[in-house]
Amino acid sequence: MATVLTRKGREISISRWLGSGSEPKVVAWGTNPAALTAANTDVGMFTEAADARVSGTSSQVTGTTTNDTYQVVGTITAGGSRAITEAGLFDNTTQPATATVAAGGVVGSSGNTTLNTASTFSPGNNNYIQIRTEVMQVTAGSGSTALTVVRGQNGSSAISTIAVSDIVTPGNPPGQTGITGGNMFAHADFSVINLNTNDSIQFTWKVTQA
Amino acid sequence: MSDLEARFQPRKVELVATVIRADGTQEELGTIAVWHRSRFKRLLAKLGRAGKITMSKD
Repeated sequence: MATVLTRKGREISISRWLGSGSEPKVVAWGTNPAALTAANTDVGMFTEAADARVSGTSSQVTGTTTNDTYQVVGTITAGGSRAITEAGLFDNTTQPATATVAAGGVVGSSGNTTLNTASTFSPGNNNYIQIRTEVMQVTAGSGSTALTVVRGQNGSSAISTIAVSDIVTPGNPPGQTGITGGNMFAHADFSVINLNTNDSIQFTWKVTQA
Repeated sequence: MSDLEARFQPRKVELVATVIRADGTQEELGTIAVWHRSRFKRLLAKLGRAGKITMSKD
């Protein structure tokens, strides 16, 4: 049950101080079936749900001292039964296209550099992806089902627990902008919230400055 | 997260949730995830989730 400002989130914060970039007020949710823990090295959701991201309402509120907290309130409605266990805060409503892991390659290996996907996957060469808690850079093969990757990027650790059917999510680490909708400001995991069709969750994100 | 990384986090990141059922009823879940820069407050939050202690407001 972690809640973190990501490394990308730090970059977004500084960019906003300088008057550039987009405001990170877009709320997303996901199902995180492997019950993974959010980390500041994350560049994407573990398993984002199909429901559209929602642009929330932002404000400046009081946490410890007057007006020291950035707050975003956003409500997402379930289009079907959902078991929600993660949420994210982004600066764009576009959900990047994901893929699923196919047999061989990185499955069960922390050293293999071939990522096989169940269908053609086009994150773009030199862009970044995340599987479970590991971030990888795609160096070749985008647009095919066999991509060449560099393991353990953005401060994450290479893992050997990658399995067939794991979700592959594109995202941007600091310094990168290649993935539309891939700027994740904050990421949280939590105990399951079970929803039926047309149930909603109103999320309130609060980031209190130092 | 290493102690060095933690020093560059905000003071606190918190996620509060309210479930709104299709029939309009609401369930206030309160804080569903929180992170404090203070290791002590992180521990308090963890104990609070486990029902071992009630954490007061900052």
